[in-house]
Amino acid sequence: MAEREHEHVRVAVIGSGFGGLGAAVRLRRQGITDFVVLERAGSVGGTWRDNSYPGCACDVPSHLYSFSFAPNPEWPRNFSGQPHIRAYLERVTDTFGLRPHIRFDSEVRSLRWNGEELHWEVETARGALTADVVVSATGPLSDPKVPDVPGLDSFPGKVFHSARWDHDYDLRGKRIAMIGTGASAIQIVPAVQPTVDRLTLFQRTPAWVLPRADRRISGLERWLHTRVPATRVARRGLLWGIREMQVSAFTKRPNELGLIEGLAKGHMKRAVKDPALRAKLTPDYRIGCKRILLSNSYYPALTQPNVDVVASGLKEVRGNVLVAADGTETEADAIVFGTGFHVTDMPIAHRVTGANGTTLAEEWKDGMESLRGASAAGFPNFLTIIGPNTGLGNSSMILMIESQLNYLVDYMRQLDVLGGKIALNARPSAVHAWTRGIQRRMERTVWTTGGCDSWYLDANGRNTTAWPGTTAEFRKLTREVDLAEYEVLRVPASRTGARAGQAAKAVA
Amino acid sequence: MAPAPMTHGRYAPPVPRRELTATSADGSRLHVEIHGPEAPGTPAVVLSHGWTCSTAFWAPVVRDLAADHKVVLYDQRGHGRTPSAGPRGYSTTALADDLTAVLGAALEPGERAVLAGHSMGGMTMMASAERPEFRERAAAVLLCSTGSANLTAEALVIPLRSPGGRRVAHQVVLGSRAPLGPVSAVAKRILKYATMGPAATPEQVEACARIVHACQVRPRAKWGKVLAGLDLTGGAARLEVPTAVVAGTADRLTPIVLSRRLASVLPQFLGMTELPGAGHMTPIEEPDAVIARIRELVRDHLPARDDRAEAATDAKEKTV
Repeated sequence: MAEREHEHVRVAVIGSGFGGLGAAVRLRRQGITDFVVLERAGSVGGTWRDNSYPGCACDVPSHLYSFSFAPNPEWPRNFSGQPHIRAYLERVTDTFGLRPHIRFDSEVRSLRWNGEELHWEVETARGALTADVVVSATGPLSDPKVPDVPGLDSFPGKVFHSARWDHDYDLRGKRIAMIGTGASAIQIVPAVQPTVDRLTLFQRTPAWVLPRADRRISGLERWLHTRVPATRVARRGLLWGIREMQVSAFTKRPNELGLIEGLAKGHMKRAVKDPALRAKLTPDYRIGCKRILLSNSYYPALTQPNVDVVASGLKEVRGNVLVAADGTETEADAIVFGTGFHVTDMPIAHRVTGANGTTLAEEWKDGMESLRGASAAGFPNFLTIIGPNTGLGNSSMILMIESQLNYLVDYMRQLDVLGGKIALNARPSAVHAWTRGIQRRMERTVWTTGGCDSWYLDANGRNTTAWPGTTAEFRKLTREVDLAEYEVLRVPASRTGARAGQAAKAVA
Repeated sequence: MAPAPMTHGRYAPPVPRRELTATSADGSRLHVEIHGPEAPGTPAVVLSHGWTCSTAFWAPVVRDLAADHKVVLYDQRGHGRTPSAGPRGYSTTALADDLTAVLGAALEPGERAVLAGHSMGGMTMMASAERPEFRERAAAVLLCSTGSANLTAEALVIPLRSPGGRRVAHQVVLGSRAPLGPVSAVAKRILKYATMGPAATPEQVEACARIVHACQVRPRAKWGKVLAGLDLTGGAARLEVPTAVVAGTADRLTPIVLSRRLASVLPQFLGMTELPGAGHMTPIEEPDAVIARIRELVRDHLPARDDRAEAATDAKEKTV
């Protein structure tokens, strides 16, 4: 039978960042080797490969921001930089023998559910394949978002996004405009300030910035973590426990966060003596509503004579002149966008066509929703890693990813238990019930009540990204797949019958 | 001495028309009863009871169905009048071996039946799903108050919040060899709490207590361990027979979520009857609902005997 013109795999994983590599490790550990990891670029690392801007580091301590199954006693700093995190992911890839599974330069162009054969038809930049299960680990911080600024095309200088840093472009002696004051921008500003001629920071909304307790992890500590793994485990446990205890302030009692605001104001006051600048930099919303940023060098950099803060967004570009919403005009040689990512409108969603013939983006036009952050109704055997409402405001996403991987592993186990050609499709009622529960809890959170607009909220103002609970709670809720929440799809009996009929005819 | 079943009223076990012994794959001898009229062509129903119960458990159902059905009952090994097996005789395989042996012994050649199982009796159906003897005989299946896996974590008898804690606690309870003692007021209250809904009548509790207290400790513990480690979801997924489900909303032993999972998994799922306020002992708590479902299955899926004979001839002609 020439039924399969192309390759078929049990699982196709999209993306090779933390989510995709983690999925690959857990699948192998489960004894599933018939899978591929489809990666659009030429190397692993995902977000930690793409974001190579000067000063890029993680704002979650490295001992917590790593896989529980791949501990690294050698982390050089509390908050390790991007090169070290990327190297860690390369090492995980080698240690766990993932290379043979990875297909580089294989961007997924389309995914289409075949309800007759019960599998996904995957079109990649390097050919087609089919898969029983698709794990979408494309990540929320993967596709840069650049605002549509009138006149940007006419700008004669250099333009790039923080996640697509042009390392060939020499910033020395240049007039740089930095657009945005998010997590990337506040790392870029102090890193490039000493070398550039002028740095103009366009700030739509100021961020709350707390001190960053960063330091080198001493040789003694590293030696101890290598020799006595329990010390490493204890360190991780402590980092985790502290953050778990903070959660309720974000999700239930945002007023408690007021205390932290004092800390942040003091932090600013120590570095910024100019009251006018301080006024510009002081947020008017509750801390935590937007992501809390950690930096010791951001405020000092802003006080340097070659830095201007424009307390307004970029409205228009006229030649090499940048016009802010408040009318301020600035000349620049280069524009760097630190304007974030397509978070609430996952780009992959446009490429996935489910059982009803609609794309995930169409199904999600009123907001993303998935059962337990993983399964969207009408998209059988399609699981997202870091799906809707799995993001965190204060802790390590790797914890959430690992919980979702537990769910994936149990999902695969259930498919095996049920046996045969089978698929699981989340029941719309179960998806809605899950989403309703989350949205009810969302009402009290700082993201809703804090008085700000943030990247946690979608176009309708609904928070479809953050998880309104502790990581332990999420872990508990994703330990097992509850088959009552799914519909079991089987190959239609009529089709098997038709086939038998055809075979009979052929014989006759 | 073990308590005797009820002697009068709806819950008193009726006298069978015939008793026989079926021999299972490992040589175990099973007590089988046949109730109802002897007239040929009477539709057949086979009932399989649950953990710590016996044929007496089906009394109210048999009393009704026996009027116009051939009703086959049997005691699972170690229960009622079927002797205990050796130490290795307790497994889901044994459940299936025993059921197929009963089907072979109690049904006529080519005779099909509607099969109903309560709790472990329902698991017996799932365990038998792929047996040819089962597939030949089963016209439809009714699963009452049962589940396919994860019983200990889902059960709510011991009111712990964490599923992990419940898993351990229920494992202990299921595998326990503690004697239940006489049918006292306290014992009945405990039994009612664990297995029946708030609306269960004193008569129903009394009937259940007499049946459950009659179960021997050793087979109870042996079967309890099988239940604690159960995974029959695959069997349920291959139960290629029209299947209906009955569940009580106040079931602590096999909470209704287990039935909802079955509903997802069963390939020919007909529908679920949720009995509000009923506990685990649905055939005793709500016999009328269970009887009605069985009668519907017979009506819709068990063609009258003559038609079946014709159908068989038709099929024969076709194959020739």
